Amino acid sequence: MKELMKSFEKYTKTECGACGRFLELQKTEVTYLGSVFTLELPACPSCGTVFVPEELATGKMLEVEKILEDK
Amino acid sequence: MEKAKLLEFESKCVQEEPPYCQAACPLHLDGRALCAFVREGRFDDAGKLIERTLPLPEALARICDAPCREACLRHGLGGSVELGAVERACVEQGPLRRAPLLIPKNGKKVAVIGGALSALCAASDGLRKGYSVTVFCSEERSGLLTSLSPRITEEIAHRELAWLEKGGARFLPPDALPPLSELLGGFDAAFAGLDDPFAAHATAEATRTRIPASLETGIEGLFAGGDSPSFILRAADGRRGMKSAERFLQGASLLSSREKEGAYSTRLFTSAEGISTVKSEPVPPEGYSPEEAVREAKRCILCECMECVKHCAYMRHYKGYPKKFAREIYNNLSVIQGTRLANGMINSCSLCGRCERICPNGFSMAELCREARREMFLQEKMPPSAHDFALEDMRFNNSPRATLLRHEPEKETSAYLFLPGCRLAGSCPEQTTALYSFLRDRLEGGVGLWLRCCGAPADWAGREEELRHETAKIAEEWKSMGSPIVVAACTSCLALFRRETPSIKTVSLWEILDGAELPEGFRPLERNLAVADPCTAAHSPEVGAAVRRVASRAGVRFQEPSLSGDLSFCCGFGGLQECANSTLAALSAESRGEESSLDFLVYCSMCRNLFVQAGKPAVHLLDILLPQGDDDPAERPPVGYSEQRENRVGLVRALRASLWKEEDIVNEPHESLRLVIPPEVKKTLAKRRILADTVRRAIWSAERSGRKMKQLNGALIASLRPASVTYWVEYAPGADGSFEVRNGWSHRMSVAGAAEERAPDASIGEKA
Repeated sequence: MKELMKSFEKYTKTECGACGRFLELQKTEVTYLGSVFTLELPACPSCGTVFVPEELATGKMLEVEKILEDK
Repeated sequence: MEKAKLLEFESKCVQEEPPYCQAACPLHLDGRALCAFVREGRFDDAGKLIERTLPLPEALARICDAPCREACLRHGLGGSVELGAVERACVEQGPLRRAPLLIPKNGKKVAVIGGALSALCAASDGLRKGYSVTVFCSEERSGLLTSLSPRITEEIAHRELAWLEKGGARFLPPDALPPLSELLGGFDAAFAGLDDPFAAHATAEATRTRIPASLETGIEGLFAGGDSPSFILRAADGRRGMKSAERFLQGASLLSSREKEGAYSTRLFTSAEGISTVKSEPVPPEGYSPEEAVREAKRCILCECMECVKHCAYMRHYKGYPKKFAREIYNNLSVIQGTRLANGMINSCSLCGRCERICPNGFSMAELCREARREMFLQEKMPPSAHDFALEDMRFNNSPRATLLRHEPEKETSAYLFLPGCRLAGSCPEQTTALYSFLRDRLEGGVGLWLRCCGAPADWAGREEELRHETAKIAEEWKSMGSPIVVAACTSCLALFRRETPSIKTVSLWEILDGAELPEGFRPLERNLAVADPCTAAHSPEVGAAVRRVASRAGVRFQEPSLSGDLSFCCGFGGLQECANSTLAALSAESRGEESSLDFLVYCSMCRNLFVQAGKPAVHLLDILLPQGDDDPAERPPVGYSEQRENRVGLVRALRASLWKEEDIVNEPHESLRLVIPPEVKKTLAKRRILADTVRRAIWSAERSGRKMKQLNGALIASLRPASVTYWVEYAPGADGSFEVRNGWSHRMSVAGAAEERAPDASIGEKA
């Protein structure tokens, strides 16, 4: 997971369309079915819009969603 | 689920019932397990099984008169398995390794009178129960065993007696036996083995009358048996007598629930269908060699039921049978804290009901899973990802943009109301239009049109309240049309209408077609096809019969696949299997495809989509009756969910305009967006259940609000969370004003700051 989070640094070259600023890794709250996690995700330092990369959504996030759904 | 309900379900499944041979064996030796070991050459394991089951294993395995032969399923298929000879071969491999008796003594003293087979068996069982056993018999102890058969040598008899002694049995001479009137003063209970003349004589008065079920005698606490000519029945008497002694010492009933102590009839069902005759291995006087025993054991059918599991992709996938599933489901529903391991299994059943139709006791996985789903939903424990997509699709199909309820143009009443169903309308809008025109031509009294969903997804998802809501609306809409006869094209709709709203008169479209002149221009194929019935037609054999007559009249040459009619499985769509477990749905479709090498002839749109997706060519009968274009209808690609939705909206719009001359429905603003989706991206989106409409909304919203990400390569990323899923779309604007879609993904987790819950509407445009 640490390696995955580290790989998100590549998204700091992605730009927020609304503010024109590059994304930075930011602590972000993620919730599902009452469980709350904190993740470092790329986000706009100005407006706070967060980006969820494909590899996270279809990988670890999906895995955790399934685990929580079976709890 | 109540425990009683579980037991009711469990009791219907006979898979765990003992095999015929074990039930017929008075000592219940599991011949099936024995043969399973022997056929693999595992004589050691077979020996352990014999040692665990039989009281005097080395002696009994050599002289068993095998009453199981009468019950063996092989009986008429080459002769019953020679289990007695197989048993013997197992113990002839060398002395059995006898596990030492490590049972602590419980202080109860039991007397055994006699030293023959039944008495020694009773003594053996008494030791296993922790009793202090005293055997009163002749000092020539081995003689009573060796006299039974030359197969029991002095050495074998000694080994058996030594084991009893090692286990704590005390042997006393006959003259040490106290008078019977005093016997029960020194002992807590006693058994007399009447196959020893000494015992028979000593207890003659008391054993004149006996109760067969308990072997009770005239003296309370004294049990007697063993006077049968059959060796195995003598041994069984020893076992029964010691069981009675145990009950007597516990103060329990001596007679109740003893039906299964001796031989009985098992509830197991094993089909002999497809089992070929194999002659039994002749038994030489010296008994089987190991090789002969292996060959004979291989003749064992290894009886089990598994009728419903054969061919069912779902049950095979979850590696079990209904009784096991019922327990797992019950446990799953009882979890308070922890992981609910059976959620996936519960939601993956297609609810086709085939198991119930073929089970000798009518076990229904559909009923079990449906009940579990209802309970999970009420407990708020239903995984949201299991059915959300299908339920959202159902709600869309019942929204104003996808529904239509009209009398025939220029008529004010309807004798009939044509209900094509969502799947036909979405997959074959042209044929739906042509069919409606055909029905108006052929039927008198006005044919109205009803585009809506019957509510099956809510039913399959266990959402009773939502189903009730849809059912009430259906009844209301039907009444508003003057209660006409509903002509349903889809057998799922038909089955649900008949179950939930029986007052609505229904008829299958195929029955109407059967009674009418066929449409002009029907085009049969040159090749033979195999009719693949939808599982939902199982309860309506008249529909399948009508389809076959219509197909014949249309010149279609067809055959029956290996399973059809009420033996039909689901293609993988039913019960929301495809929604909850798309991998399994593909297996279901593949499995059905294997039922015939011919292309399928189907009369359900979803069956066609699923079969074609799984690589099985399938032709819809409507493609033959109302051909669209000159191409081979088997070549028509499957119609995905995005396209189905667009087709339904398009159909409503086109029919309203062409038939009822109504004003066009105003497009939602995002609908004007032109998308270019390369085929591989289309596949990814379909697999991830991201509809083109969602993609369009996300891009529209991003473009209007400016809320998007820009990647180094210039691609843009839009996101949208219309309800409980956040969608991400990677895209690039084209020079002609269209948008090329490059990728899409989604997640259900809510990420603070990722995408607000919103759906685009005109106001987004105004904001921009």
